[in-house]
Amino acid sequence: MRPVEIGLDGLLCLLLLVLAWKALRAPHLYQSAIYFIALGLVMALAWVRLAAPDVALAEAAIGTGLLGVLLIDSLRVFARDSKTDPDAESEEPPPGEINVYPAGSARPSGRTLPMILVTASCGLLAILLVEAIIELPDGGGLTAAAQENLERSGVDHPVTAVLLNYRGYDTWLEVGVLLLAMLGIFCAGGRVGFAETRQSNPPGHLLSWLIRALAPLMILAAAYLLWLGKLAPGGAFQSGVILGSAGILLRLAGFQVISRLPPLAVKLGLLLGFGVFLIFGGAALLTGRAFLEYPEARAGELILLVETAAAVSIGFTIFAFFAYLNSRDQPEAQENHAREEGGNQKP
Amino acid sequence: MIAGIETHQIYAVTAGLLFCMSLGGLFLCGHFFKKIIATKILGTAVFLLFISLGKRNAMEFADPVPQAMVITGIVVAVSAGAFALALARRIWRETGQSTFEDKP
Repeated sequence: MRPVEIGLDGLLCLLLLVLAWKALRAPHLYQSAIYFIALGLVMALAWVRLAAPDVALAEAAIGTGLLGVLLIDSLRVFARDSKTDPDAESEEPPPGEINVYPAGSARPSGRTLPMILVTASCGLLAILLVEAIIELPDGGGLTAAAQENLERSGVDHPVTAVLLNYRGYDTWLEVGVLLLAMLGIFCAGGRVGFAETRQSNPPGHLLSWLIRALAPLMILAAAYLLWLGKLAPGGAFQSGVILGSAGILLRLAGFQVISRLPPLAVKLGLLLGFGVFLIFGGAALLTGRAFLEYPEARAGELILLVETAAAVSIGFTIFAFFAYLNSRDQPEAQENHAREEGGNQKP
Repeated sequence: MIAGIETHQIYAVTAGLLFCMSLGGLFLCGHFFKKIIATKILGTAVFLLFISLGKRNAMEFADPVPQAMVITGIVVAVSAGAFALALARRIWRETGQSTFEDKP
């Protein structure tokens, strides 16, 4: 390895550590969120250096993009409520100055001992871990096995082959986890179904025009990435996230996305990925193959079908995460919810 | 000495350090919001270690199995993070509390 490369990797790693430290130690939550987003982007560069462009795409889009939006949206709630809620005002500083230690500006003195203990044990763990990592033996791994069966998998990109063919179970259950998380968010919000509310301040003409122009391009890009997953980095997750973020952008610009669709279509969209996997796996069982096993001749087409369904579902779910959390805490939203829930949503 | 260092070793060691740092952060940070961020960094450190170990024996391409599992993991971690945020927001709305500590 050339010294330039070592320098680059060392710099990236240093940046990762510094950003993580800053994200954990920043005095204000807002700074924390921004450092965390920066950490995610540097992490995406690290994935590229480790020859994992698929992971880089997923990290940048889902791990950083989507979660960043959700974090900042939550911050709006934490900050706003501390202004309006008289109870909370006494213990929370005003927005933008939310301290890590809400009870007072100084760290309580009783916490010094636990802090030393935690720091010492984490330091010890770090030494042991680094020692263990350096002494790990080489060898093993499944590269050879993946390469050997690539021709029979129906796709040309090894990561897509693993995701949808060799380890279809993982992907199926992952779509299930997304669905479960969405149901959990609905439960935590205390309401069934999600309705959209108009933004309190309408966006300017420029923003509205820009997003109108961008949305079709984003849908096109999502379809392209989905198709590309067959032979290069890309695939259902990345494509689904682009679909979802197109929805989020449209919503931020004040367009109604979900409420334009009939509720049944929304539910179908959310369930599509999980359902297609399940139907397909069941059909495979009925025809005497293993669950989620593809017939070799048609594997390519079937994988594309399953991937499309998964991408649509992921897009819908990701949008639902945001739309639900965002609309739940709009101050003027409560009455609208009540009206729309009574009108067209079944409780 | 320096020429013997491989890319994956640098990142694997960084992953170990990140893990311990965020583990400490998880214990020491009070606010839910920071605990969620610490958990996310913790997960990312594990992913980083996994991928860098997958690069040890790269042939024509790096080991695709850890990559696929990490992509799955990232999506699951984000779902869990979103759920945790929803819970934290509910707790905040109901009780006005943003930490696990008792009110003084």
